[in-house]
Amino acid sequence: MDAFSTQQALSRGTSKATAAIQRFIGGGTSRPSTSAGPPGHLTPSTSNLSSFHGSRTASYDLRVPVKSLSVSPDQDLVVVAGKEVLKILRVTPQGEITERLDLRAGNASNKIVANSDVKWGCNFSKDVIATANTNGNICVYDLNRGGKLDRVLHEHQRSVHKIAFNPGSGKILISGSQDGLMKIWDLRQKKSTMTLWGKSDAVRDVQFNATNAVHFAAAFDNGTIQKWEWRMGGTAHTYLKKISAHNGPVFSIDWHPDGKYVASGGRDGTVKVWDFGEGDSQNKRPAHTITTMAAVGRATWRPRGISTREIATCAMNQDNRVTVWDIKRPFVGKYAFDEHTKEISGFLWKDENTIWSCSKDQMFVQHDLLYALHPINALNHSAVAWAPNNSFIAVMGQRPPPPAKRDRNVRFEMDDEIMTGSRKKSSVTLVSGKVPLKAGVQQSGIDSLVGKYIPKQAVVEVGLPMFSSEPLKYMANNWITSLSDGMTLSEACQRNSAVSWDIGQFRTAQTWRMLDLIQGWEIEAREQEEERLNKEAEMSSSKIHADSGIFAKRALGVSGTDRKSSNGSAGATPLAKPVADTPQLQPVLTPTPKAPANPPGNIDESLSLPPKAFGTSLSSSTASTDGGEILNLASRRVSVVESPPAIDEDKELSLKPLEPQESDDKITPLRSEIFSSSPETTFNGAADKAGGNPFDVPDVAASSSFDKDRDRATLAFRGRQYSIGLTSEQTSSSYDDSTNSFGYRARLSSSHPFHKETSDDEDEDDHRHHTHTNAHNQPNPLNATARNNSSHNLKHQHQLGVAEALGREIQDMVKDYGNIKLKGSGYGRMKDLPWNLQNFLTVLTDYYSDRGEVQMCATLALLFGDLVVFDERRMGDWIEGYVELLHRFKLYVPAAEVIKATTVEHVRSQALTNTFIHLSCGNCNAPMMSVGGGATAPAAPSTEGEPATVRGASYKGSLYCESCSRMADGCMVCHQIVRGRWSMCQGCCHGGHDDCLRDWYLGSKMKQCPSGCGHDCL
Amino acid sequence: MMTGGSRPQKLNYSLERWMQDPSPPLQSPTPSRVSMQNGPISRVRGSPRPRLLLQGQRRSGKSSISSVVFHKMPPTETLFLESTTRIQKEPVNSFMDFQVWDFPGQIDYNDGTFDLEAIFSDTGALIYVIDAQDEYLEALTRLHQTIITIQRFNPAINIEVFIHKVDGLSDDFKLDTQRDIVQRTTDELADLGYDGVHINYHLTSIYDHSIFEAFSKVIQKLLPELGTLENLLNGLVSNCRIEKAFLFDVLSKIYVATDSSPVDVQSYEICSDYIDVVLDMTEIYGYDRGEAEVTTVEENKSSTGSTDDWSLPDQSSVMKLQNGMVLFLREINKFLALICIMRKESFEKRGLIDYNVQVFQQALERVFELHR
Repeated sequence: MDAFSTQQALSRGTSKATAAIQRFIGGGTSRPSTSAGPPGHLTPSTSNLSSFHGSRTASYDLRVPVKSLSVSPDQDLVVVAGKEVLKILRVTPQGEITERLDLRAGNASNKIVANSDVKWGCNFSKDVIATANTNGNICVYDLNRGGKLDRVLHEHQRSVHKIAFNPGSGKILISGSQDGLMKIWDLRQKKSTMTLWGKSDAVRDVQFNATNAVHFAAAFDNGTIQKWEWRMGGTAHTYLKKISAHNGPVFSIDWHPDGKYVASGGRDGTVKVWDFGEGDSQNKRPAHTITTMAAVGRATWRPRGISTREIATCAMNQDNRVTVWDIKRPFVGKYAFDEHTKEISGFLWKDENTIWSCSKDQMFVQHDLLYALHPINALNHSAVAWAPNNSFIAVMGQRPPPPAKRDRNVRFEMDDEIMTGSRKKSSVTLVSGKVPLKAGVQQSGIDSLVGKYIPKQAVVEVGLPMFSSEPLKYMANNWITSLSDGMTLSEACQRNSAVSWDIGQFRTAQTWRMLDLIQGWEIEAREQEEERLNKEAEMSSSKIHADSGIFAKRALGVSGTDRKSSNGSAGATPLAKPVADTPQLQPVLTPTPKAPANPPGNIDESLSLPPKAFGTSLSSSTASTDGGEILNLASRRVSVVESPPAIDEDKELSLKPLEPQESDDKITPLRSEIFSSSPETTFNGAADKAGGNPFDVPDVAASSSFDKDRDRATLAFRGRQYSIGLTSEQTSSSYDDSTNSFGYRARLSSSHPFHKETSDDEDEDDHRHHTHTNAHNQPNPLNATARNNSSHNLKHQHQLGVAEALGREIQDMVKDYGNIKLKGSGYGRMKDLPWNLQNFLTVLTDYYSDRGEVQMCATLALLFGDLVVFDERRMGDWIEGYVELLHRFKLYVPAAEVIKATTVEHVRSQALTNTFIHLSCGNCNAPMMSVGGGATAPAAPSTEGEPATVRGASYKGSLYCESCSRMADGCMVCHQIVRGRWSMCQGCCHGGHDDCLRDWYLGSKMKQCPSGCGHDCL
Repeated sequence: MMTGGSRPQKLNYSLERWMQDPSPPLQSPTPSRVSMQNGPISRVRGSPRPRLLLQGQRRSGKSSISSVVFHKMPPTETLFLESTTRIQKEPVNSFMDFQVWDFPGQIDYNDGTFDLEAIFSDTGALIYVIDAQDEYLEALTRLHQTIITIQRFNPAINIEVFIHKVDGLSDDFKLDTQRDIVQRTTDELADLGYDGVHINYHLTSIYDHSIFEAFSKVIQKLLPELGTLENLLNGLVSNCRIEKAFLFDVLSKIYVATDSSPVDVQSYEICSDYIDVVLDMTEIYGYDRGEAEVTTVEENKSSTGSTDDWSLPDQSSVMKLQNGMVLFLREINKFLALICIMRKESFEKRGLIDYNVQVFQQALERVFELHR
């Protein structure tokens, strides 16, 4: 220890003053260090710095709370001051702390009160320590005389908060006091040389500018910071600059080493960096803001020369850490030290990697920056979020390598991006001691800072192939969701089918075609039923007038053609014995395409049927076929791209969990590949392929003819089981004798092997028929042909193969089922068939809702809502979900159409609520706050033609801007107020009367905005 | 702790002659506490009590401020305050007797019917309230006019601008608003040749303690012995290892003085709430000369033995907080209470603290006597 100090003394040279200090300090009584640093810091002290490894963190217990500290110019001694303490400590570079001198010991204690600040002099006064006291005294101690109290400067009437030695001369001292005054003292004179009043509250901090020592900055209790020049003398002058910096008191101010910026910290918990340079820049906004957790007690730049960008802060309360911030990264501290257990009252940078701090926990601590905590590492660096289109994004920050035990020789800091050039320059400046700036040569770390910290991070956007938005958007835009005038349900179905076909949604297209067929049958059958019932009604009593009335109305509305509609009563009565049989049904089926659609009308409650009869079987069948698809690459690709919520993709996910990430990359090229291979598959084909339907029909009819009996039986039991939801007709009439195993019905019937198998098969049949149709009989020379040949066909041919393999079995089974005798026929019987509209739709909606295709469900509910009955709650869910989905994709027009068409109350009510638009004045941009415009507007309807300026003062309606006292801009063409509708260009926000604009754009053939803003509106 | 009574109104009548309506001065809704007729702390000898003028635009929140600060009205209730239609003079009988004049926003006192000199000459501080959530340009124009008028009659007046209702603004916007107002005012006054006018700006809101803090600062500036009080507190704080000490006016929860260490919001809030608790307890359990004790540690201090009649038996209360801090309340006189925040370790020397506080109390007494 002694060896080291002498070594240092030698190296420092033998100035008389320092020698005196040395002599004195060396003789001082030293207390044993009670350092409590991490093990390893107590390595044997050697003068060889480079061989020293490990943290230099060390602490020393002072036994009393410490208020502030200051380092000697020689950087090895520190004076600590508190309410009951004023001591000089000696800190070796290795982290050994010893007490050198108690300044209180030799002085009369009654003259000394609590110190609020302490400063060690510099230059000529480096043997001087000054303390600021709460009673307004400034005590000056002379170390040359053994630390005796030299003099007491007493001019402040209230507590002195801060003192600072002028770095230029060292004899100049400034003090800031609670009374709002700052006094400049020359230690060679008895009185203060200058008294400055900042016209503000108490002065909390004063600091000289190190590069231009005639300037100093002061921080005030009322939140302002000021820049002064003390050289000017006299009392008349005032501050050079004043900024309202903080909300609440400012506690700390510190000049950046470049002498241009200051950092201020205040009670509002922020540290702000201000341009305090020359020039009367009226920029009163902070250059940077750092948000900390608690009131900032001190904020100090890290001494790294001119390029420093880091600020160390400590909090007044609540936070016991010293935090070092990079102004590039204002929300997360770069380093933190948590050695203290109570609030830190003062700290300083010993050098750029060492912080000395003192605290109310009575400790003096040396912190080693290289062993600091990295708060950023305690945070989660990754985040995941879902996008509306079902893709999700993951962000992962790149962590710096763990701060392992690095060799001290190899000092590096990972994320410092300070340019080496400027750093060298600045270090040269420091070494040579040339403090004054040369403008334009050096660049401050703040000036050169171009932006906020941009963390290095990996962003992964994973598009899950479960869903792609393109088909949804296309179908949302092109599907028919409500029947407009003259459009039949059949046309709507065909159109929807064509649209989905164009987008490659083949299953959906098929569904629509089937619906087209079935709704035709349904309507036919209902008409026939009407007719038949009419005949019966002549005989029977007309009990159920209401039902029949509705039915008749429906029939009337439905037919619209020359088909005979019956007017009879007693529609679906329990008494009605079905009379029609299969042959009767057949001819009905064929002319389906011509079947007129139902106009939107009332829902016939009596038509309710057991829901979900067929649903699970259909879905399970498609699942199985999709499973087959996986084998076929081509078809799989198609489905990846074009059928959004395809189950096969789900399966694929479960098979190969890594697939999504890979396919994320693939998706775009894949799609383009497919489109390029079959360019016809683009979305241009809105052409109607209804021509294909006649070919479908016989097949379906044929297939259905042999399935019918069995399905009749299938439904029979169901009918009984769900008789609650039915009219009595169904229970009583036809289902009594159904006793076969098919009566088993489960919502998730896939658990029933038998049922599943058979239904799979019959679905295969359907597919086969369709496939035949599509593959061989496709008469349309449309693009669909190409598509069929390329991919779709493959899929279906594959299915065909599977299906044919099973074909015989199925037929056998079907025969068995066919043995079941049926009694019902006609419409009543129709109801039990799987392709009965109600049943079929139930199946469909179950299937599609299981797959999450809310679009399909909602559209079905909208189109068929008045033909069949959907569960009110489910329908509400679908519509609501669909509308939300449309909104998410910004498809507002389709969404509005859906809202308009739906019968679901709470969705409809969206369209019925008021819409408020808040205006702001086009002139001054202030919000137009005046209320009651709606009430006053009708009161003055004749003012349409009156110029705005005439009425401006008197009329205060909704269009009157109070802040600029004029009417808001009206029409851009005629410059008059617009009442009623005001159309505007969304590009430039100018607009006006409809007529004026029409005249302008259409009449005068103008293209640009009438306001003259130069915007090309058209 | 306090006894109610009616305030003699003769002082107010001297002001009546300038006012347009001759109605007697309105008493504050809560019974105003009596102070000694020649109370030790009446500021201005032989003249009416110092006046605080509350001015500002219509609906800027003047009446809300005075209701919340002086009448303990919950901030949410101020929504239902009627618009003030005439100058409302509220005597505040507290540690420092002063009078708050609530000026209706629509009154234009520049129209010659007011005796401006009489209004302004005795006024200690003008508090100009600006609604920060509204357009303030017009308010600023009025402010500038008022300042110029005041400069003619009473240049010594403290001009305090409350940038009010800032609770609705974001932190950045608060400061932007303040900067804008300061800049405009400075420029305008500089243009008019009133360079040296010193204006204090405060960001306030009735929904937090900022309005109390701002009022504290306003009141403190009217207090000539503030420096002395502060130094006394500094001595007390440093000798008893107290973290923070406030001298509170218990009625308005304004702090009259504090030691020179920075006031942090949490300390102030907890002290202010503590006073509420103590007052409530006193009202319920206190007897005539209230000696109610609250919270964990109970204490009954006997009279300090002071012969002066306003130094009554003091009461004290101690509350130990969970975070190792101790709140210590000591009655100084009828209107003042000393509240100290200290660490538990420091509170162990209870006798020392009591003695020091007693010394402080006596010193305070002497200070006020001196100024009497």
